[in-house]
Amino acid sequence: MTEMEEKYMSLITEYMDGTLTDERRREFEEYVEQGFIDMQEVNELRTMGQQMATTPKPEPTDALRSNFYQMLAAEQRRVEGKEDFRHVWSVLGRFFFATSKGRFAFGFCVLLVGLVLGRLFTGSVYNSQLNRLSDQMAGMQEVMMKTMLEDQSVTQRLKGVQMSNGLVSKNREVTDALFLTLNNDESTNVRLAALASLANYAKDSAIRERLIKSINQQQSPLVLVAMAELMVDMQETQAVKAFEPILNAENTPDDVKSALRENLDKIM
Amino acid sequence: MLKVKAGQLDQLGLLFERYNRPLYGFFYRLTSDGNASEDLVQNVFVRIIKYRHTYKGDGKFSTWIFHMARNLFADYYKKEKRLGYKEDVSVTDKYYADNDNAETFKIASEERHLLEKAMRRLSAEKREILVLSKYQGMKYSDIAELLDCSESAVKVRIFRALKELKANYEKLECEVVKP
Repeated sequence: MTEMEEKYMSLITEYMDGTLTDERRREFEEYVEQGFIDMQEVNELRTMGQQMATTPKPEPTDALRSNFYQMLAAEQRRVEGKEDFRHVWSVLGRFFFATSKGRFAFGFCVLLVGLVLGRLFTGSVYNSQLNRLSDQMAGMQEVMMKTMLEDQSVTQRLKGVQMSNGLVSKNREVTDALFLTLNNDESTNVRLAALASLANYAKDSAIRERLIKSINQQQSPLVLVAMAELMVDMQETQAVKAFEPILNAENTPDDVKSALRENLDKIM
Repeated sequence: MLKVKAGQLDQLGLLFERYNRPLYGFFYRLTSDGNASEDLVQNVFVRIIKYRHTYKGDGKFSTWIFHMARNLFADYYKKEKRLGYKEDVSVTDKYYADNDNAETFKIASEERHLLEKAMRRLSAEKREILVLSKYQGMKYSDIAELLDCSESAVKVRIFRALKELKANYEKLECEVVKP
């Protein structure tokens, strides 16, 4: 396509659209006269162009408008939400940083929040660690106590009984170990110590019941008298029956019988 | 548009009222699909909101908005990979609803049908330049800015596209007469 042909095309387009200037119009007419531009073709093209221009314009449905305004409203809400957030920040910023009082208040708030958070988190962590440590200690104490109660040395067994203080109410195994000591230990002192330790928990009905059952298994006058005194303190009437076989036994020393009777008489 | 850029989103309503029909016409002539054209118009305004900060205000707004429309159509065209004719009955019925004479309607309908068919036989570029100049009535200078070429090039392209359209139209007329 030559440059000249492109020039004709430009002129024809302008002619068809009615945008020729006077000078361009003269140029156009010259090319028509010289036969470079075919007016019949030009007119046919112009008719086609006009046909296009006069074609009714397609119209969108109402949905387009409705969808647009919905979208716009949603966008406005979103932007306003952001603006509100910015406004709050700007007000807070002005309040806290514009004056020295504001800065002091901000510092104080940060300190307060830090303290609260510190207390909250440190407290819970500390408590949980402490509980864990306490459980571990109790476990160790229990193992040590059982070992000591089985020791051959009376002193060690006494220490074991002392160690049981504070563990009885929490642990049934400790209670069992103490009753085992009370009923079977060969040392009177150790049995007495076990009785003293269990006496602290005599309010517990289960322990009290086991203490009464333990009476029959005792032979030592010191332990029997101590148990009788304990029963008097508890005013345990059922203990009277438990002592009867001992009181009726021939091998029970008279001094012991009289001491026991003296105590049991105090049980109402 | 500068007000929209400054955050006055309600001003976008004015722009919508001014441009929704020309944009719809532009898309409809290119796609022959009323629903797709409405979606594309909506997307133009979504993009305006999204990219409003990029508007500099140094050129004509109509050129800027049609630039967006062209990009959207290019995406649509790539996606569809076709420009098959799908007559949207609801739209055609609407803009021919004023014809009370059945014969007139029939002739106009046939001519319109042939013209649309002839348009669809053009390449996308030729169809676009005819839509912009003949259907949208856009000035050469605006088209040149939109297509990033000289005004003379625009005139030449219009002539060539129109000539090919006419040839397509005549061929279709012959096909109708001698099926």
